[in-house]
Amino acid sequence: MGMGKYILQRLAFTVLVVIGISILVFVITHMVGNPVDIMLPLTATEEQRQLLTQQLGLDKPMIEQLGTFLKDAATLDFGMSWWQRRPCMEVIMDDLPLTALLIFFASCISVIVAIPLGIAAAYHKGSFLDRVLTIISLGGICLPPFWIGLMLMLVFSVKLGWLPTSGIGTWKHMILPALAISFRPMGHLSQIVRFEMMQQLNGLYVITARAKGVTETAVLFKHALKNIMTASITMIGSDFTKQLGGLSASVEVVFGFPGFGHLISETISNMDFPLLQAEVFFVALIVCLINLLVDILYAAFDPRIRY
Amino acid sequence: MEETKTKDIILSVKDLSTSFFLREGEVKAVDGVSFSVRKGECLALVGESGSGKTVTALSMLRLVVWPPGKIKSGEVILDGVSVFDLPMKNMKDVRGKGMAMILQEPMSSLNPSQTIGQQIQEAVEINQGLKGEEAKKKAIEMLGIVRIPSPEKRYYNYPHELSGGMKQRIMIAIALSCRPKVLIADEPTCSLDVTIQAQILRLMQQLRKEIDTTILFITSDLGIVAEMADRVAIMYAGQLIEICDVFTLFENSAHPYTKGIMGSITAMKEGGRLNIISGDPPDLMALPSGCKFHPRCEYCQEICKTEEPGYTDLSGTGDHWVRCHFPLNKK
Repeated sequence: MGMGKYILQRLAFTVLVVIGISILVFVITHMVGNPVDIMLPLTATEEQRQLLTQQLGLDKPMIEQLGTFLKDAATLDFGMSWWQRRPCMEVIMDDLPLTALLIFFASCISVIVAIPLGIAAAYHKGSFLDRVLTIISLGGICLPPFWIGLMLMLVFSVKLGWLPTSGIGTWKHMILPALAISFRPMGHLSQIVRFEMMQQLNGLYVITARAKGVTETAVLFKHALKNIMTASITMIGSDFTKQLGGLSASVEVVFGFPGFGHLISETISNMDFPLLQAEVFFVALIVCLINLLVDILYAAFDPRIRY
Repeated sequence: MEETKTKDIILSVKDLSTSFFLREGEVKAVDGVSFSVRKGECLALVGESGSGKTVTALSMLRLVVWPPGKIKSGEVILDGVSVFDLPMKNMKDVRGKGMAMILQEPMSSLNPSQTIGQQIQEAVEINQGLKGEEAKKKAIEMLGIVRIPSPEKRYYNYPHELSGGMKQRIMIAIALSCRPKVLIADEPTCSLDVTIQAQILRLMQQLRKEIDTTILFITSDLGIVAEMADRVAIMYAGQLIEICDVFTLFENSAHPYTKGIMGSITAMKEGGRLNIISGDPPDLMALPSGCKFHPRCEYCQEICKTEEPGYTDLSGTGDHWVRCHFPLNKK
């Protein structure tokens, strides 16, 4: 099977997954609560309630509501947000690119830091350096990101005054939130790189390479690095999608960053069904596309993988 | 042990000891091994698995990884250069050009993510000083030399696209591309099936004639020894116990262990029952006192249990050494 055919197949599969998840979220949200109770004050009369229910289309049978939703979603029309009173697409397009950029920055930071750290720890396994690097990466995984964010803010904004504490606008506003988000993926990735690199360095092909006179630098970067990439990109992709799916919310709140994670949590507490469905639709779509990208990259790094 | 004939000696190993320091204790994998290799000859290093053959070879190239392995003492002189005195960053001059190694496991000894062509070419570039197209041409030529059909196409294959025998040919091509002074072949046929074994051995014999290289051949197969080797060094429990030429080995070996392993083939040829050496190979963490072989030796005397034998020169010319209190050879 050729690469092109494989990609087409996966894209078709992506459509199925997105439809499936949309239906699931639709059914669950319509079963858990009544948005009318949240949108209207407690003093509202029964007539007012019924009127709103009718306006929102919640009085129709669920199957009919689902049909309308899917038909509109096919044209990327998710209707009006109940909470923000403007089209859902507009709300999402305001926040999603910003957060995607933020998480992309955070991923870049984590990759640039974690791969050299992991390689150094693996090369000097059991040494003092290895222990220190392991403690740092475990710290990155264990410490809550909002706390890291607050500490960064304390040092770089309050004490040193180098960077703004909150808001958006310039690239300077991105640095601290991206840094705060990057700690956890950095910890994950450096642990994976360390472990994978140790495995590779125990491999016989490393002895073959050294025995023909290859330098240590070339052993690490020309021979072993390519063989740890499949595991590494799996981790990078998985952390990226997790952050995008709402994990970045706490950091966004700390830095007053009007991002997607923040939006998701607000949407849920406001029971804004149309907006929530639109958000889930995009998260599912992006997760599927990133997984597809990761799978395509596998083939680029490991010649044994062919599609 | 000093060999009297020192002319033409290209590689000498003196009193080499390598241990692995595990949580349970020290494992003496190589314990005071000394031997010399003459230019152009094939010396077979023979012993059962776990006797320290491979670790000896890896130690010579300083490829033992610490932790847990460590070269404790010894000296390796390759063509006048004392290998252990070199700074680690200069080892790349000894590895490859000085000594190249064919590993025993062709399945996992090649980098899975590089083409076989790249891996041969890398050896050419490092050790022959060629670059780019020239090096590629040389790499393709090497594929032809190890009898790989349609080498121009095979250059672009990845290791997983080749069979075990083919991969071992690639390993040989890589080692030969280094143009080594000494080629170390560590059981190059042990994981291949018998017909492929024969092909690889024939190839190595042909190549030996064509390029006239010095070979240190590590094996546990006495049949291969008879075919390939000029001289033989027998290892037991990390020590070298006998060294002699291949005819002496088959006709007049002196160490009871050597006699025992030779007996295991000669008895079968004569239609008798298989002679075996009783007991098990020793635990390298709890080696017996005195002669390491004494618990299994049928000629064992009191002195063997307490005193470790030194080397005895049986030939008087330095060609036949044995580490035994009571050598068995016919005078």
